[in-house]
Amino acid sequence: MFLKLPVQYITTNVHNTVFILNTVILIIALIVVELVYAETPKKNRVHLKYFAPLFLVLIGLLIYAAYKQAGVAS
Amino acid sequence: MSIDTITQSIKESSVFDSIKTSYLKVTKGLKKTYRQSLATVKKSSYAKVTQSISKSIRKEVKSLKPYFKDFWIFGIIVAVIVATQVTLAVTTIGGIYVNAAAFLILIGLALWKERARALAISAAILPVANMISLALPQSTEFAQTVVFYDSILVLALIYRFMFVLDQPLKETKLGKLGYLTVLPLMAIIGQVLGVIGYLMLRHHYPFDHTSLPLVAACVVVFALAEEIYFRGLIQQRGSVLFNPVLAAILSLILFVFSTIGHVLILVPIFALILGIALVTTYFKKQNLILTFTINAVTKLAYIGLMAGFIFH
Repeated sequence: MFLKLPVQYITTNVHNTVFILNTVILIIALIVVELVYAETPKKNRVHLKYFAPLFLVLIGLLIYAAYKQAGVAS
Repeated sequence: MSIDTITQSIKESSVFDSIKTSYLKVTKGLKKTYRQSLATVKKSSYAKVTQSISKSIRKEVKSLKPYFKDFWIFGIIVAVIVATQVTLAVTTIGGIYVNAAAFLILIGLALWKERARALAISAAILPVANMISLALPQSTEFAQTVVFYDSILVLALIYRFMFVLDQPLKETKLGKLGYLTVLPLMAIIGQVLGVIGYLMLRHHYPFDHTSLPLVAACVVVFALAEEIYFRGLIQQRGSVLFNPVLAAILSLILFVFSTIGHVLILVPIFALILGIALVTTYFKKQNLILTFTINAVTKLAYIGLMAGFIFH
């Protein structure tokens, strides 16, 4: 009935793994965009906008992680 | 001369032998021709039957082809989402890796096949919502669920807006009379499903220690998020790519596996019952208001029954 994250406890370990993988995905995404679209004519690049919201979310999560790290460090 | 003598002489004469030989020859020839013609008839009828069977099989397979068009895309999406949800339920850290892999596979599919792009990106919302929820741990299960639903709602709304801008949807609005007659019916279906939900899940209420009015207000938003995502994006985009029945099955599978937990099997079973009602309604009418009414009334009826019989 209710959608849920099928995880019982989110520990620090889980938290760190998510952020590391998030960074890896962002780097892979940047490489793919560079490799696939750098040579594509501009008029064919319009559908790139479809990927923007997902990657903006990942960037947002990274900024949050950096903010949390800074909070812990200080 | 007696008759016996005459018969004996005929028997002994060469005329009888020649008649006998020619008779045997003729019968032998006839038998051979009969056997040959029988074999030919058998062979031709057998060939005809097998030919007609293979022809009808080929025809059936050909007629089934449109139903299984792009079935491999359906298979990939189902496999990655099911693998993610099940692994997350079994082992969290392993599940996070599978979740990241699922996200990359779906984005790769979207980049590779232009016709699968909208559906693959829509399906990728689920791994991203998992990632957001895992990155923002909350103190209560209710707050965690709110984060999960809100991320799905926001992304689903953005993508619906983007896809609808590109491809105008078919007009599925009902008239005033239509809404007046159909909405109460949907509310009744929702009430019935809510009672079934209460009977199945009354001992497994997930939001203890949270005020009931707040939960009641939020479940309406939860229903909206579910409908916009599962029916409005997955099923709608799926029916552009596949046969609508296959799109409905895809939406149902994703819905059921998104409710999977680490212990309880009753929630996915109830989600299956609710999902069948919702996908069938959307399949028949393509109207989100109707499915939203069923979903919201089901959740509200469940919360109401819990408040009336369990918490009072």
